Amino acid sequence: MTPVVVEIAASNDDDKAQRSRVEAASPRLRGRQLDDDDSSVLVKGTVVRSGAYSDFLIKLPNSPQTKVDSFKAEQLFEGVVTSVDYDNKSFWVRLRDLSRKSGDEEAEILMAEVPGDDWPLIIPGAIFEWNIGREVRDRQVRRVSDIRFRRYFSFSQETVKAAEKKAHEFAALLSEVNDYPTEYSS
Amino acid sequence: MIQNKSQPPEVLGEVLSIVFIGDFNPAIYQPSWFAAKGLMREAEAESAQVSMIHPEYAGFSTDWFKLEVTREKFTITTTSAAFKTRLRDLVISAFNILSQTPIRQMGINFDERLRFRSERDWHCFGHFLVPKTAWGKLLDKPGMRSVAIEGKRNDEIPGLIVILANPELGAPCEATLRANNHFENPNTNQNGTPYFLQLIGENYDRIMEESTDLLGKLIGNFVEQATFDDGSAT
Repeated sequence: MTPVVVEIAASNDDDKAQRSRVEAASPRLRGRQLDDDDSSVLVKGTVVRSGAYSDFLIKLPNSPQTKVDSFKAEQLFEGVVTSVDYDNKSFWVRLRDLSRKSGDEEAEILMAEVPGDDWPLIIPGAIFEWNIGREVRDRQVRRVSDIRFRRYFSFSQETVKAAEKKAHEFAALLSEVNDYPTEYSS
Repeated sequence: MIQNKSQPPEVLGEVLSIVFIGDFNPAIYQPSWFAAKGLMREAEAESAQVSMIHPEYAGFSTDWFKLEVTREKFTITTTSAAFKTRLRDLVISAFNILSQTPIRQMGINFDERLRFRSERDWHCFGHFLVPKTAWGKLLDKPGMRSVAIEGKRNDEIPGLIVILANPELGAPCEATLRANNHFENPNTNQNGTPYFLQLIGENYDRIMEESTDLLGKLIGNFVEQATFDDGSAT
């Protein structure tokens, strides 16, 4: 069977997934010549027409781009929750400015600054990133502040090894201090 | 040969992506699945733009990432380096759940779209990447369409770095550079997924930083060069 190329136009009118109609002999499917554009996805399938099976290739349009065309970060913080005040609906954090590599700071953040979907993640020890920057969306430029709790986190081996090394150094230092004679020692 | 004092091009945008080659079931990768597993905000899943969810292909995008999955390829993309950590987290957490998915190869890619200050600079960049004397003997007015140069990695990880460059033919003075970090499963008798996830978890930040530096050095070398081989006589 000669492959038949059809094109399905993506509809963005509703939020539900476009369902493939490739099994149906739909008059809305139009045959088109394949071209050199390799930016689309080719999907193989079988269509039934008048009781006969035909192999076909579907050239899908490019999937929609991200709604944010670009984001230029001006400041990026990594934070960890130190305590949560449920009465005042706020939480205390320790922040590290990754964009300027400056020292840690402490701050109180209102829960209202965080999208509701992330509220269950606001617990002591939780890690988040705080992006402040310029977002381009539909050719509009606006400044945004986005706090997003990390839904997966694990320390890399390098981080663990570095922390262990630091721990050993501190342990050695404390051990030296404890052994060092002072005027008060007997 | 021509002389040119080139200016650093403007960076119009960047794209970061993680690509897996393996065997996938595209129908799984729906926004609702990511939200149900706690990998994505519910609101993001509900507002995701879905192009298709089908046994052969799944594609959707949110504010900050785009996902496309076919039977053989998984591609997740974001358009800002500010989102690189969450991209990494999403991929690792998804495939920790789908740990039985066979993955054979991985690419960690960093793209930059550039706009050169003048058409002359743009052409000189092409001459910088592909000197034209040899081509001028074969073709009339040779011009670079695309170039890919592969190199060995300088870390201990089996794989390659491939730098790709191509002009944007529809947009004069623009070009795209890509640093493709390519990795293979070193043990083909085992599922590569745990290996690739560990590789991402431990090296992703460094790889992205090195990729950014690499493209920066390429552009820096171009700006420093004063003479370009455009195939013309000296």
